[in-house]
Amino acid sequence: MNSSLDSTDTGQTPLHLTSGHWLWRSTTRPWSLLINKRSIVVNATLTLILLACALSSLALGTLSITIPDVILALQGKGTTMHTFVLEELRGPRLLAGALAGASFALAGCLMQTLARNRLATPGIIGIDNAATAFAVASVVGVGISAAPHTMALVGAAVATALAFGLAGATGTRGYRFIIAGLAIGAVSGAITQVMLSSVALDDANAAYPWTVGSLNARAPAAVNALIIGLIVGYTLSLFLNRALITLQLPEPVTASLGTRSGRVRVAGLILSVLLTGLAVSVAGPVGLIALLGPELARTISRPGSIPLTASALSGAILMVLSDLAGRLVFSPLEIPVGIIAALAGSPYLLWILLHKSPDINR
Amino acid sequence: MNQFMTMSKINSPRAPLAAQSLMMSHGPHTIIPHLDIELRTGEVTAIVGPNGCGKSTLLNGLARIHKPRQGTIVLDGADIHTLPARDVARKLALLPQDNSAPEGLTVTDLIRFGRHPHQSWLSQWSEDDERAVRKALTAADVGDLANRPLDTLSGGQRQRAWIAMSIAQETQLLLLDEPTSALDLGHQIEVFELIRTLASQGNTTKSSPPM
Amino acid sequence: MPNPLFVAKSLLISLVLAATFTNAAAHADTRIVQTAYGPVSIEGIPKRVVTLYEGALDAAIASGINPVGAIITRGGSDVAEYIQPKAKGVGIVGTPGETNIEAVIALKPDLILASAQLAKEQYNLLSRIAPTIVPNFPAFTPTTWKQETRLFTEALGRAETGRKVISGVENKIAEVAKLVDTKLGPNQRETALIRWMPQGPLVMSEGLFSASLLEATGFNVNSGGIVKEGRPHSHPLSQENLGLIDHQWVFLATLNADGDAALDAARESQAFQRLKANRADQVVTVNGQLWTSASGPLAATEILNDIANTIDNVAADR
Ligand SMILES: Nc1ncnc2c1ncn2[C@@H]1O[C@H](COP(=O)(O)OP(=O)(O)OP(=O)(O)O)[C@@H](O)[C@H]1O
Ligand SMILES: [Mg+2]
Repeated sequence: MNSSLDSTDTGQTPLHLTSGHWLWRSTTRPWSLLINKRSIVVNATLTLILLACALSSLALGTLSITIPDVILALQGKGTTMHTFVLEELRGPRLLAGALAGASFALAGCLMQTLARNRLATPGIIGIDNAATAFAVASVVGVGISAAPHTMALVGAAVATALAFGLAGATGTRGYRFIIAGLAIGAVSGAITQVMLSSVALDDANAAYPWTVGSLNARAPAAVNALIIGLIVGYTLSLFLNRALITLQLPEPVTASLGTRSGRVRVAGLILSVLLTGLAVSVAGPVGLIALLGPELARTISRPGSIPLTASALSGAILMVLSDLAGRLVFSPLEIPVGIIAALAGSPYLLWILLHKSPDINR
Repeated sequence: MNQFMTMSKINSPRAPLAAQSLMMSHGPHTIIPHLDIELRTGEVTAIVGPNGCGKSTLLNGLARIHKPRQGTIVLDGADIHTLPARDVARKLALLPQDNSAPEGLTVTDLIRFGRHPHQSWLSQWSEDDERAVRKALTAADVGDLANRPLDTLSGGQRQRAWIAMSIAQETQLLLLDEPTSALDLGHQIEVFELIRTLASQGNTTKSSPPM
Repeated sequence: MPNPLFVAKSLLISLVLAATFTNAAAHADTRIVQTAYGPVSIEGIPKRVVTLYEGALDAAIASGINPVGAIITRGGSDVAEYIQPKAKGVGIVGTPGETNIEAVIALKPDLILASAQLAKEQYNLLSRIAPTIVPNFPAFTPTTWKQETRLFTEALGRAETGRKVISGVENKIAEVAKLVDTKLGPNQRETALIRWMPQGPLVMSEGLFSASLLEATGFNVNSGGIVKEGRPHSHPLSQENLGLIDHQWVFLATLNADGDAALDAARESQAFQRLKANRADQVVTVNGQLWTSASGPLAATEILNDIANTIDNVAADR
C-alpha cells in the first residue's frame, strides 16, 4: 500500500477509470460529459424494437395491411381505406398505447428507485386502483361530474397523499409506504366494485374499460395531456437522475454525497404520480407495465445506472405488444390491453416475489 | 444511558467542525445527553466506546444526517443545517458502518460516486475527478481490484473500496465509522496509517475504531 | 385543435370513403331519416347492412334484410340464440360495449344501424364508413321498440314492411292479453322480472322491453321499488332481500351457463324456497338473451310465445 499519496502518477497506472463510457471534455471551458456506452446501445436497440412493434401494430389487425402499404400510407400515398384505418384507428391507438406504456414504466422506475424497492410501483401501491375508482365514479355518475380522465388524475393524487399520510413519510425502505398503498389500493378496488354493482348495467358497462385497462376508451384530451405530461415528466426525471443515482447507496452515504434525499423523493414521487395518473386516464389501470418495464430495462442496463429512458422505451414496447396481442387473439373481438398485460405480467411478478429480493439493488 | 466515550478534545478558535450542547436521541431515548466537541484539520480524533454507546449516532449527527434534539453543529462558522447540502458534501464526508451497493457495481464505479458533490450536469468527469479517483484507488490499495464488481470481493476488500470512495470525495473532514472492522490486522494498520497521512495532508479524520 | 388543413383533409377522406364504401349507384329513391346526430340521407336499398344493436338486427331481419355484420349478445359469444337461425353467416363486429371498427370496414357496409347509446366519437368514425343511424327516442318506454323499428326499417327502405311487422306484433299482444284475461284473475298477475347473474340476482325495471310486453298482456310488473328513478335498466338485489319481489309470478332469466349454475345453487336456499311464486310453481325460467337483452319485433313475438305457453301450462296444471 502506497501511503505517500503524492507519488500517485497517472502515468504509472494506465487504468481506465471510465471504461464503458465516452468522455468529452471541452478544451475552453470546465465542461465535460461522460456518456455510458451501454445505455446508448440499449436505448438504440429498444428504440428499434419499439419501431418494429409500432409498424407491426399498424399493419396487423382485423384488416391486414402489408408493411409496404403501411409505409405508403404513412407517406400519404396509401388508399383511402388504408389511410382511414391508419390515421383514425390504429395510429392514435398506437400513440396512446406507446405513450401510456412509457409513462407507466417511467413512473415505476422512479418510484422503485425512491423506495429502493422493486415492488414499490404505482400499480402495486394502489395508485392505479384509486385513479380507476375516481374515473369510474365519474362514469357511473357518483359524486362530482368531472371528466373521467381528470378524475383519474385526482384519484392518483389523493391515493398518494393518503399513503403518505398513513405511512408518516416515504420511509427509507419504503415498506410502510407500500403497505399503506396496498391498503388504499384494496379499498379503492372495493369501492369500484360497489359502485359498479349498484348502478345500472349500461353505466357499469361504460365503466368497464376503466376497470381492466383498455386503449379503446381513450379521450383525445387525455392523450394530449399525457403527451405534455410525459415530455415534462421525462425531462424533469432526467434532471433528477443525478440525485437518483446516489439514492442507490445507503441513506447516510446518499446524504453525505450532498443529495437531499427527502426533497428528491418528494419530487420523484410527484412525477411518478403525475405520470401514472395521466397514463391511467388514457389506458386505465395497466399497472403491471410499471413493474415489467423497469425490470426489463434494469436487466439490460449497466449496473448502478437508473434506466429511465430504457424503462420508458420498454414500457412502450410492452404496452404496444400487449395491445396488439389483445386485438389479434380473438379478433374481431378484443381483449383489453390490461388483461393481456396482467396475464403476461403476473407470472413475472410471482417470480420476483419468490426469487428476487425486493431490494432494488440486489 | 451508559456512556463511555473518550475523545481528544482540542480547543481551537479555527475548528472547522464543532458541536455545542449537542443532544442526540432516537425517539424517546436520549443517546447523547450533552456534548461539546471541536474537530480541527490536520488531526485524527478517535471516538472510543462500547457497542451501543452512541458513536454512530454522534457521527450521523455531525454529518447532519440525524438531526440533533438540541444544540448546534457548526461547519466552517455556519450552522450545518443552514448550509446547502452540496457545500457540506464538499467539506465533510461520512462513511457509515454498514454499507451496501447495487449489484454488479465495480470498485471504480463506487469510488466515482465520491466525486458526486464536485460534479454537475455540465461537469460530469473533470480532470480533478480523474485525479482524485486515481489517488483514492492507490491510497486505499484497491488499484488491483479497480474493475472487479463489489460483490466478488472479500469483506475487507470491499471495506477498502468504500474508504476509497470517501477519500475520493476530497473533503477536509472525513468521518469514518469503524472503518477497520472487517479488515485483517495488516490492513487495519495500513488504514490507520492512511488516515494519519490524510490528516497530515490537511484532512481532519475522525473515526470510531472498534476496540 | 380544429386546424383548417385537418378539417379539409378529414372532409376529403370522408367524401372519398363514402364514395368507396357505399354503392353509389344513383338511385332516385333517396330518403332522409332523422337520427340523434341529425338528418341522414340514404339512397336506394342498402345491400350490406351492419347492425351494432340487437334491436337493429331484429328489426332488419324482421323486415327481410339480412345484415352482413352484427354484435354479439350480452354475456354470449354470438348473436342471441333466438335469432341465430335467421342470422346465419352474419359477421361479428364487436360487443354491445365495444365496436371493432376495422371489422366493420372489412364488411364494406352501405348502412350502419346503431343503438341510442352510441358515443359521439364512435359516431364520427362510423359515419365516415357508411351512413350511420342512431335512434333518438326516450329509452325504456313501451313504445321505444316500435319507434326504433320504424326508424331502422325506414332507413332500410322497408318502411312499409316495418309497419306490417309492428302491427303483427300488436295483434299478437292483443291475442295473448285475451288469453291472460281468460286464465288469470285480476289479482293473480303481480310479477317480477329477474336476471340471475353469476354474482347474484338483478331486478329488471318495469320499463324493460320484455317487462313492457308482460304489462301489455295484462301482467303487473313490480320491481319492488328497487330499480331507482333514473336507473331504468336494472338493479342488483341481495339474496336476503328476495322478499321484496315476493310476487305471485317471477320471470327468471339467465344469460349463460354460469348464470344457470348460480341460479341452481340459489334455488336450494331457504329464502328462495319461501317465495310465493316458488311455492305456487310460478317461477318461470326464460332465456335471458331474449328476455333481458334483446328487443325488436322478432324478439317480441318470441317473448309473447313464452308468455302464452306459460299461461297454457299453468292452466293445464290446474
Ligand atoms: N434507529 C434507531 N432507533 C432507536 N434506537 C437506536 C437507533 N439506532 C441506534 N439506536 C440506539 O442508540 C444507541 C446508540 O447506537 P449507536 O449505533 O450510535 O451505537 P454505537 O456506539 O455506534 O455502537 P456500535 O459500536 O455497536 O456501532 C444504541 O443503544 C442503539 O440501540
Ligand atoms: Mg456504530
